[in-house]
Amino acid sequence: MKQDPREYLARTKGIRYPFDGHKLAEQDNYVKNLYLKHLSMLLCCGKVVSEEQTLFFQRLIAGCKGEYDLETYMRQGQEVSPESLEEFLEAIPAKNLRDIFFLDALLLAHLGPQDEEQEELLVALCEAIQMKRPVLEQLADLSGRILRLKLFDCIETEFWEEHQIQSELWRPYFLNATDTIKPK
Amino acid sequence: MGIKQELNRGLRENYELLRALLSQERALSLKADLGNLEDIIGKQIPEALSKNAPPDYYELYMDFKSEYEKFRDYILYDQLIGKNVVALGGGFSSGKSSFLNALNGEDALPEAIEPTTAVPAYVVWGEDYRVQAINIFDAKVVFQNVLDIQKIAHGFGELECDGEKISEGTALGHVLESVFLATPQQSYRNIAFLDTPGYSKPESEQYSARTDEQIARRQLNTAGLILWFVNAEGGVITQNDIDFIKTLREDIPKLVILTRADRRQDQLAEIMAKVREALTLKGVGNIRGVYAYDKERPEDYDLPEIRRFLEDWNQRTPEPNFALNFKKLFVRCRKFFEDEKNKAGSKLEKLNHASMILSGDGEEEAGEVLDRLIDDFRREIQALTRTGERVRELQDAFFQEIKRVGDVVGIRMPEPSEVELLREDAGNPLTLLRDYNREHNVKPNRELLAVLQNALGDLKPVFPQAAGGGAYQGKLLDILRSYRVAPEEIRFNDVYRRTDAYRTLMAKEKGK
Repeated sequence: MKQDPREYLARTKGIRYPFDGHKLAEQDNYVKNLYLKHLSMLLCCGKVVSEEQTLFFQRLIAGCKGEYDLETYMRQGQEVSPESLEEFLEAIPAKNLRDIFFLDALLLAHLGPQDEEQEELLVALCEAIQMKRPVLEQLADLSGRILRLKLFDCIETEFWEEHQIQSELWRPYFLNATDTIKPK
Repeated sequence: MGIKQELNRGLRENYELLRALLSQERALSLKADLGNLEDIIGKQIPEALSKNAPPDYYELYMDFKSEYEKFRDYILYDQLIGKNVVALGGGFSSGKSSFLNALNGEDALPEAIEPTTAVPAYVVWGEDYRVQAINIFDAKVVFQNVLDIQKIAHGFGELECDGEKISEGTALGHVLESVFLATPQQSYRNIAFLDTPGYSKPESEQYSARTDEQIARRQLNTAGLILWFVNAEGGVITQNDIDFIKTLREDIPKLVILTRADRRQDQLAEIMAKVREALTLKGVGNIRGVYAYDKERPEDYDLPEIRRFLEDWNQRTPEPNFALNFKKLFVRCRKFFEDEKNKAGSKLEKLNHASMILSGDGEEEAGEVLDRLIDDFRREIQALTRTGERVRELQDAFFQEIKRVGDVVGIRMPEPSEVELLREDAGNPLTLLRDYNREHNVKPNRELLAVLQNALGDLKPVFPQAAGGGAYQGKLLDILRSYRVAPEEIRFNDVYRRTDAYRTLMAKEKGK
């Protein structure tokens, strides 16, 4: 079947810009699948999935070497069961992935149009995972810096001292950050 | 006409009818080659799932096949394309066909195709009467005379000579898969009625392969709306009917129609209330109404209301749900493998953890046993992955092929890449999470919402403009455009355009 090269390039763009160095990449497929499936719930409950959101998700899958493609994770996100939710909520803190998951969720949510149901879902997730208000504030602050591309704000020592957030959280979102950025 | 000629004519007519009836010329091949599709359905899918499949695989596969048969019906009876299919279901002789006649005017459905034929019949609007059928060899049979159907159903081979019956007839209805009738009397131009033979239990006298519950269910499940018929004389809706309706697809809206209402005129209101109550109590979903009807005095009962309902349905743009229904088999199978992998992965995780502890404690023997178990789980995960990937390949191949066929015959199908995102009525993740929080006594914290809204409420992300973002392309384009040189400023090829200057230049080069 003849394929328009521009359409192909657009569809596979995210794969060529992976979020390298993401914490999830170190995990095995079981954890990766739980993580990505439950992250895609956020897209499924939104009214519209924006191009930026699909790109972000594709880049995340590529960076973490996820087992399935975007469409499959999105389909899985529609079918989340109480059992799998329970499994996920146990595994994420145990694997020390809580903060990065919330960061990804915040970034993903804010790359699409504002959606009340998505916000409610984020809050319900925070409650389920018992996230404290200061941590959420820090993660929201960090996600704002990433979305505004305030790269140098992220590498200021004061910022890290104040927020106690490891640089590994934000590094993957700045392309080739490991080559060009040297935090103090 | 002499006795011999009369006999010969009768025999010739019977022969011609039999020849048409048993034709094996597949009309399908004229429009689109379905060979690849049928190979995927009949061979490749069963092969891929022969060793491991979900427990409900058989049902899923049979539903898939009947959806494919409906797709094939659309190719053969192209007048079905663009129509909303309204199926008539119910027990044997529950008044389905007489209802169709009452709805559309006398004899819309000729007696010859009434239920005794026990063949599913599509009835659509057409300028002229046209009767066609598909036989068991998938060949299309066109009938010149509507009475031929009656002959096939009741008295094929019956011969009379000089007013005396000289041979008995035999029913040949079972050689037909479906009948298609186009008639100017069908009042709803966007609706195709599918009159099904009705279902019966194996122990019933009316039971046949055609009225088998499974077959009836599959036929009904391909429709967009189901009219379910109950004989009011019984005074109640039977448990069998309720059980049957509950197994039909819940997303299909259903009307329950009580027939022969006149015979229970006095208690009708009570019977209807009982039926409504029974349906609610037994949790039968998506029932849009319970109505009464009698063929002798249809207008005195709820026929006008049913007509209004159908009129509304007639105005709707049909939404062919082939893709969604085809997708079910693939997705359920893949989900099964994903869940099995997930379970195996969870166990593997625990075993790996235990193995690390044991090796740290110097428990080598126990560690070896554990390692063997770990290997077993890894192999299991690999096998599940392979089968899951094979099912995905088949899904892509199937949808690519069916898209090709759909384009040829004019049935709109999505691109294979769009199939995965077709949504069924999915659960709501927010409700799921809230239920989880309630069950686990998690206290709601409304402050968190304020935190999110304050921190990011008016945010305008710049992120998409960086490499990898959606707006990055636009930025690159701006850069390229800012360096663009106007055509009149380009001098690059000037020297080659002026031949004299070029010759001079070449001569200079030679002289060097």
